[in-house]
Amino acid sequence: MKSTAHIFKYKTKIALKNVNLQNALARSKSHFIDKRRAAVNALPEFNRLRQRACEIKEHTLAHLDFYLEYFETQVHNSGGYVHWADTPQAACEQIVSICQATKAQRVTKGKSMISEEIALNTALELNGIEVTETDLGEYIIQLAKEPPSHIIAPAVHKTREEIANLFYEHHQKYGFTKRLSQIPELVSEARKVLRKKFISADVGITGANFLIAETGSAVIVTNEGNGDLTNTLPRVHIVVASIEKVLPSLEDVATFLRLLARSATGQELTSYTSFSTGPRRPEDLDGPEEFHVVLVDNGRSEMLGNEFHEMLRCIRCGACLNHCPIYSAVGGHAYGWVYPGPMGSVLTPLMLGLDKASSLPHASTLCGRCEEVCPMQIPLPKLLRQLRVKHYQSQGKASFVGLGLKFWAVFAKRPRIYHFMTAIIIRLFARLGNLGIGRNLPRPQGETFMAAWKKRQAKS
Amino acid sequence: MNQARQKILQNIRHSLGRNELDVNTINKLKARLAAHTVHEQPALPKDLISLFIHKLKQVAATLELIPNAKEIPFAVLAFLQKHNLAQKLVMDANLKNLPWPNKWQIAYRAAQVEDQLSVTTAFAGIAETGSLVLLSSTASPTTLNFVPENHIIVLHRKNLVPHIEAVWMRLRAQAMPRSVNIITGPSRTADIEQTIQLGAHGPRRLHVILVN
Ligand code: SF4
Repeated sequence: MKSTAHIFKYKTKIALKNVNLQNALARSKSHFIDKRRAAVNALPEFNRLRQRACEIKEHTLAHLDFYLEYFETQVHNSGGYVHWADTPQAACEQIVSICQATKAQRVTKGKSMISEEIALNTALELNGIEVTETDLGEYIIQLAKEPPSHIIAPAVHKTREEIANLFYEHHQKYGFTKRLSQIPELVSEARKVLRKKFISADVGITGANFLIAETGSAVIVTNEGNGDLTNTLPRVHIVVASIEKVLPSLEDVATFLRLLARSATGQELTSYTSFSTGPRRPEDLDGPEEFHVVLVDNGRSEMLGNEFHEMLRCIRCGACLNHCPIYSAVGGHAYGWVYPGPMGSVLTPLMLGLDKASSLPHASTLCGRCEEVCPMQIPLPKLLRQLRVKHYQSQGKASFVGLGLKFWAVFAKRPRIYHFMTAIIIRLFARLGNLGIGRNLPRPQGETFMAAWKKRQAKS
Repeated sequence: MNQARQKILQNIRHSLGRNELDVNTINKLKARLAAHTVHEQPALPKDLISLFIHKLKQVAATLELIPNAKEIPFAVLAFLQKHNLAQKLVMDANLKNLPWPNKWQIAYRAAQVEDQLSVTTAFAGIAETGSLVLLSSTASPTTLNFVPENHIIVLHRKNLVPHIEAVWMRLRAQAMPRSVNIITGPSRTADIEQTIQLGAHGPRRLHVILVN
């Protein structure tokens, strides 16, 4: 996916004026926040689990080479294959070549953020392979040719009418010619259309919420069950996952499962938590004949050693998006690439380069809500500040803001002149009243704070 | 491919500021894997059955409690009648020996698109979350859990455990199956205007028969 992260400011202006988007955002915000709060409050152990999860993740990251190799061995032992890809291009090439080796024409996909990151659909389509997203939200935005606007609710920005129009336009060819308006009808029509896709697919591609070193398993959590139809019905199952997804043991995964759904949707567990280990066994009656895992690095191994390494703890729950005042105001598309919200404002500059997404670290009020709700206790505001510093340092010449600050510093260092000047300016503003540019500000009282304070002190 | 593998592993070690791990550390990590240490678990009330039933309700699954396995066909019949379903079922072969009515059409195989109702046996039930654990095997193919619109799961009381970790202990007594499905309620989606809708891709109805 081509990034538009460099025009963030421009896109926020458009987003703020988009009525449909604003309605959708208002609706989803309270939905996610209330449900999460209820789920977390109902579990007194939540904070201890959070602490433990961080420890497990830090332990795993500190021995990532060991756990990845162990995982690889276990996948081999269960009859599967592991492929390593350092770049998005390499990952796409490997997946395309697995598909070509099995002469695949159709692929179904479960929702996967890493496949968005590596732009997998484009790569498959360029090679003449039909790709169908099967998560309802992903399917909707695939029809709309849009990127996801939320990491767990990709079509959160779409209204029912917009979805009805998309289905009306795209489902005619399958014999569904009625324009629908009710949500149950829309879900049921999508179910029928996608059933056909599931059955005719040659390859199923899923992401992984976790990989387990102990057993060589890939874990996915879904509510719809699309992931399971994707990994059970086709001949070949490909898991594409980034390297930091690995966890040591089944017990370790249990701790993460207690945090993930609660933080994401406020559920204790999603409807389906599924562990796939290798291809079908000789005696099995269903399941794929081949099982592949493509491990993607894309800059993560370097992040491991730098000041942003805490970001590798992220389990993509989306809580930081739901609680972010900026995300709630502008939605996911404004961020311009795959990952929106606070986690995206950290990841996008790290993955694409700070010069291509320099506004994103500034897209935060640093209010700290994201860090508060993050199940992995990632210090997002600190990471955003670090990126701001980096951005500032990378700018050879002083920026507009920098010049302004320098100008201000001239006065700030000379308090007498400063107070004298502010007193004049504030009187001037009080006279002029509202200047009528942009937002209306209350008219100043005509006295500086310092002057008013002095008077008060003198009185008492 | 091997080049990428080497590069990634080397990068990791470089970032961590070390070379390959020494034997000592590797042995410690292997010991950690073998220890199966259980971390913090939510405290649960003593009565697991009540908790399990309560949790099932919360996730929109339905339940029937029956005294013994012979009653299973009656419980299935009640479900068929309640939802007006044909007496055509696809089933887990572990249930073959029950006294099923002769006129019912029962298949023991992987699920097909036309199938409306499947009946399977749970490896375990988890009281903490109201979940059912199903394993793939010759007798119980995974498609039975996802293709039909109605899914009945039989759970024997002795297989109801408090937490997920107890399932892992039991699972380790056998070979890891291709698929372990932890099922918590019927299939659902909230992808259209955050409105929850059951039966997105998997079963619309999930019914549990708990054999006491
Ligand atoms: S940064 Fe934290 S809150 Fe945000 S998606 Fe990642 S784990 Fe969730």
